Amino acid sequence: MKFALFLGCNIPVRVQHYELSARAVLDKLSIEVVDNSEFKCCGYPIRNTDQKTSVLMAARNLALSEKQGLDMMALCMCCFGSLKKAAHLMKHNPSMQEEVNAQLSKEGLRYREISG
Amino acid sequence: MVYNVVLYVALAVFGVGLMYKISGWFRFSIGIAAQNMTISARIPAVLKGLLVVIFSQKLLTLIRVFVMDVLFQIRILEKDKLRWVMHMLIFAGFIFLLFTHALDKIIITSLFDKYYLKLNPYLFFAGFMVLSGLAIAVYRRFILKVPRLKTKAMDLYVIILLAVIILSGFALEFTKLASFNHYQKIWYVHILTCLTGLAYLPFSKMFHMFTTPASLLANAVMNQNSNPANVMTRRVMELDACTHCGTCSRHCSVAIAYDSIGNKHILPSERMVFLKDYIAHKRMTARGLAAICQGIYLCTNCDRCTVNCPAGINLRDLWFNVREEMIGRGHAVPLMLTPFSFYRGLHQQELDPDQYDNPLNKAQKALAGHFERLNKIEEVIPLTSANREFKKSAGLSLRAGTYAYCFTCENCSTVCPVVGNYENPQQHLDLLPHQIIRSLGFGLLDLAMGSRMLWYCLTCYQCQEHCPQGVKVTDIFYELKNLAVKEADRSIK
Repeated sequence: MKFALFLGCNIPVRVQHYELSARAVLDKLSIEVVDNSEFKCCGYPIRNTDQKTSVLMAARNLALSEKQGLDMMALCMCCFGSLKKAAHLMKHNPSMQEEVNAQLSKEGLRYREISG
Repeated sequence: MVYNVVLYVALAVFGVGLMYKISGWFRFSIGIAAQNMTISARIPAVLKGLLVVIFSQKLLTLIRVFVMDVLFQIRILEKDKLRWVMHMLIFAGFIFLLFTHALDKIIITSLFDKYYLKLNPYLFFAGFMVLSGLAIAVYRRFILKVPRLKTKAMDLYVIILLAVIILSGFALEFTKLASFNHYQKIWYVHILTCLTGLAYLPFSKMFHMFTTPASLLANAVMNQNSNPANVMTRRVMELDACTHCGTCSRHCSVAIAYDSIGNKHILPSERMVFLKDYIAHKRMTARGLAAICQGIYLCTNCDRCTVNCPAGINLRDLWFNVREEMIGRGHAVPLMLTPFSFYRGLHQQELDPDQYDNPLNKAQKALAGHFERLNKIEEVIPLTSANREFKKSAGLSLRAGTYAYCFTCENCSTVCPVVGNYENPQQHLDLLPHQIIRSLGFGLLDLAMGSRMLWYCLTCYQCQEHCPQGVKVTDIFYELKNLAVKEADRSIK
């Protein structure tokens, strides 16, 4: 099994022990993870004030892992929820999907998958 | 004669400009804890700090950083190879021309007594290096369009200035033998642009040839135990070390929010431009303050800007301090009630209790303040007949319409870990989750939007999972928060 590992903003700077132990466990379970330095904020913190921006931020990460051809694994519950929610909204809301993809195209990205 | 006058004027402007800029590092302060830091305390602190470093093992660190980061610019090489080639071409070519050509009479002739001034075979080579570097710079900015690299007038001036210097230099060498008349004209162009460059240097981004090494070296030997006076001086100096290269914004975790919100202060490199201007007078309009507060609070403190800055600027420290200074100026910042406050909460110990609480209370008040019913708890609310247009007029989504299925079983409030945290939850939260949903059922949107419960919610989704009626409680809370912020923004403006 192989996943794109999504660490989020806080784990690499403030909770490194969590990342280290997770990697050790994944190694024991023979689960391969691929890092992507282009992953950025999952959109969770801004969802309280601006859902649209939140979905855009999450979708950017989804599009990146889709480009790698990998499913995503998130260590943080809030990152997970935010990414999953965005995938769901993108699936059920074609107009949002279009709007978000238009923004993403500025970075040459597009989120297609409709499995959320 | 004319040449001498222009030369001395240019040198004088350069010298005065240099002194003026450097004095700014001691005159200005930025961030909290700015009090008790007078110039008379800061200058000796820097001198003492320098002496201590030079006569300690840290000198080795300085030498290493000077060679690796200043001369070979490893930090740029690691991030962006093309950019490193560009910078090295300009840097090495320029330094070579400066020492063997511009200052040849002073340096080379004193070293080699048989040096023949009229012939420098490497002159063209160095000139080509600078020109190719400039060509890459133009290519990166206008053709490649490096993401988040914004071009300001300041960036263009420097490229044009250097290009004119080198091209007129080439023309000069070519016409040397051909035509004396043209030679003289071009000589004036060449010398005048060189001297203009010299005079303009302290006020332009070229000043970074002094400040960026200073920032790299200072940050290599300073830590959180350093003298606060020196930290303040360094912080101001670092603003001059920024070349607006956009690396921070390229790596910024939330940069994409700029595409959706359009506030340029979300991008760290643009905030630096603002700060350079702000620091001297500290004035700004209410609208400007709102924009900078939003921009600087919309930060996950992921440290990427600090780790990636090629000038080694300690942006982590800068943002924390500037953020406190800005939110302390009294503008309500709704973002403070979101998880963006996580980092600030972790560093609560570094702030006075009042300094910590006041902006938070202000944000809370701005959001709840205009929901009048919430402030008059004793008032009896008349039961109104159901408003069928409510859902549409409230701007809630179809999904949020599930509030209508609520039959007040209170499951949501019973499982809520936030409610369970308090002896008397209503005193702290205003309304409990089921009451918020019921308020919507009654068409009392203001009551629902103003309660503190929304902002204390951990978004664990327990309520939504447990609702027997399929009410999307947490999702509704999110929508209400979005609405409340929109409302508050409108009333603040």
